[in-house]
Amino acid sequence: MRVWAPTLVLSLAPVVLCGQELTPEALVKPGTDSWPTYNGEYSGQRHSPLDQINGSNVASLALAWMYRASNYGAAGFGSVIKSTPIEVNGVLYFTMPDNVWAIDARNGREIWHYKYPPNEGLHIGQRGVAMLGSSIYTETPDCNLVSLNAQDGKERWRKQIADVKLEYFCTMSPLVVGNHIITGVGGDSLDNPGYLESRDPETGEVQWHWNTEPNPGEPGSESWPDAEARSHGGGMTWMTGTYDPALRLIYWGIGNPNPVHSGAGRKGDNLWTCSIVALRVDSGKLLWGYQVSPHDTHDWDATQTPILFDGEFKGKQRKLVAQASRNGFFFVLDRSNGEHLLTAPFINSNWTLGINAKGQPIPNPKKEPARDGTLVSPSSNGASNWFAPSFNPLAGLFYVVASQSYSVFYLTSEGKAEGFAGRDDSLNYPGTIKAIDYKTGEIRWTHDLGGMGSGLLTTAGNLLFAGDFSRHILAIDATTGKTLWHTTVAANQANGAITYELDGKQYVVVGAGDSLFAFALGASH
Amino acid sequence: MSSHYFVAVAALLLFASISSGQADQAANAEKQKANRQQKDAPQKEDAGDALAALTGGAHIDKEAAERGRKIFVPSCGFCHGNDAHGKSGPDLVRSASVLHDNKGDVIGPVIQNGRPERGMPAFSALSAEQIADISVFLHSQAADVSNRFAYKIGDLITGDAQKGASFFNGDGHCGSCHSASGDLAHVATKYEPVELQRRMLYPAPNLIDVFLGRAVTPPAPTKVTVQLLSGERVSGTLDHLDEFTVSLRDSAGWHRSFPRESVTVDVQDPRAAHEGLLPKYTDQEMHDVLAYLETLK
Repeated sequence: MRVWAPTLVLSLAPVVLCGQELTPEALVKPGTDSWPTYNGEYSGQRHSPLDQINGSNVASLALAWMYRASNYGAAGFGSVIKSTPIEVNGVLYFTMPDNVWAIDARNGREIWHYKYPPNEGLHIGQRGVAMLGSSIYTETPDCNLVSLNAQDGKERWRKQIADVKLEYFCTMSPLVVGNHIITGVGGDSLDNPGYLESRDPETGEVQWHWNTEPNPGEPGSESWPDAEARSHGGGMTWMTGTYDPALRLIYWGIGNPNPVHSGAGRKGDNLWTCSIVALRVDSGKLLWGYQVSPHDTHDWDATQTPILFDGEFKGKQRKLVAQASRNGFFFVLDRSNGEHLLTAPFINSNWTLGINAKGQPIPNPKKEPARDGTLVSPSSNGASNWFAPSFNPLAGLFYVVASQSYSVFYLTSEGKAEGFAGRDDSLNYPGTIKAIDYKTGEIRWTHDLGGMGSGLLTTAGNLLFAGDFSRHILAIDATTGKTLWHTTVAANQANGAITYELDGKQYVVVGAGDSLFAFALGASH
Repeated sequence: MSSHYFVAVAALLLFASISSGQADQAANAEKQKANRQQKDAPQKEDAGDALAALTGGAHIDKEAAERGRKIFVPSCGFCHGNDAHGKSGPDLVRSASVLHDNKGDVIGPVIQNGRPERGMPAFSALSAEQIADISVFLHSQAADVSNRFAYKIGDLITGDAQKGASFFNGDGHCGSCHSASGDLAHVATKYEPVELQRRMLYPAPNLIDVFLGRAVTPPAPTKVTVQLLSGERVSGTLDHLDEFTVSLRDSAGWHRSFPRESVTVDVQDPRAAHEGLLPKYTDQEMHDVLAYLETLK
């Protein structure tokens, strides 16, 4: 035995090490004991096959643990956890601006905390980390991609991904596919071009770069009047995209054009702003794009998660992508080729003249911002925003946090329009969950939340988890929209819930204020 | 709703809603927020500073910028435009070189040596101090572009006051709650046009103003009547209403709350009629009613 023991340890050591690392293969088929990416897995459905917690027992859901992030210092607006935690091998990794934490997913005890130095980037929010191998990747407010050692939070390297002096800022959880770390950028106050980049996981060097405005001569370049407008056209990429491993395509929602509220200097559709695009993951080459808001002047980024699912549409089995977009319309496309299948409103907007032959809303020029104001629904906050939607394949329902909001949009620029060039005065801030039948666009049910501020999760237990605007966490019947369970926490939920199973116990974890709350069934189960 | 609750919600909404927006220097905004929290009654200057912190431009030396403008206009304006937004020469407001410049360290050599290959002459007579002032001026121009919350809204009153009066007394049914000689007497003297237009559409404060601690007129109290299973009715001012609870302040001044499942709630929200009009207004009607309200001096 004495001879045996060291041999055993030695022979096991590399196996154990591998077991803790996150492989590209595990990202393609993540186990239910993990939530290894921003959306849990590549499709963006935020739907878990776990059903231990279900309609029959959710009434006994109880707090398993909570963790308060008390050591962040100033982390920007309100120091709120907007990030979706990832969970790998029993460890949760999550963020606030300038801060990353690793905590034990079974009991909420802190393992390490990483603090990025003070910087001039906009600290508006941080949506989470990505992981590959034994490394964590996160974007900083001043637009560095930082790689950390997942074991102890020590910084490996940082690489600039955008120029903060030009008013770019970065909030996104990177998307990891194979050996690509895909990063997006934000910041639309000084008319910068948006882009996506793929970075090497070991060195952080650029593998490919894709500008959201086409280069001269490329398809879509004709949708800009001139090089000046095109090169200052905006189109940010600030939300994590989705990925189809079979087609090897990434899908991304692209932000609004610049100058934001004035379209006079950028006549045309302004591709690929306010579009859903499909890029080849290995080269960053565009396969197809579909613009959901031609020539936007209302700040309606189309950055909402383009969710992938396979399903029947008009009698034919299809590979689909769907988005409930900030402009108030729900879109379904064939994700293999971008063919348009369905456009349906999910709020009562008033900015269009109708829908064109390609299924695109036709903007009403009279509803563009004006000196004396135009009354428009939705507001610039949108009919939806960054709050994670969810798709439940069991019910064929797409769930979105929706807002029947109104704003007065004003044009303010004197002389040459630059930056926002206008303002909107948001009048009201309602928020509901809407369950949309993807085949018809019909709204099956609406559940009032009192405001719009957090994302959604569905599970095979036929449950939908959400946060309302009165500090409640809700478990809702995914078919009917009825509340089955609720509890009160210290602040409004500000991220999207996740779920995983460890030691035979299913956990649901939400972020509210500066704390994470984990729920599991009571001891009687 | 209590004003305390409203402020809390406003702050949360604001965090949620400027999701793709700019703003700036969050560390400063945080500092401002902390300052505000230390004082019960925020000063007006705080609101201005907080706005600057939130929207950028907090560190612009205004005097240096003005000195810079006076040098820039005669020396550079002919090609770059007096506002630096570009003319025959490039736009310098969203120029990467300018945005990276600190006191002339990037643009100084360009100004002093010119760019003959692009037709820009040398301005070798300008001193380092003058170039530093030009740099501040250009940064102030960029801050003016990126600070959207500081944009000035103007020229709102374009409607027909007479038609506005007809809408007010006719299709808008505004007269059923309001009167030009009663609650709305002299209303145009109380609010700037943009605020009057906002309150006319939806009488609640602008959340940016709330967030910045500016003096705002709180929304009118909402009356509520709760009927208990026993048949007893309790009326008061609504404090909070959500899916599970209704709470109010009763006529004796006590806070009372009830589970929604065991009571019937009747809310008389003065904003409901305004909300009902939002989908109905044409923009012309909106302009006309504002023009009418502007006559109530």
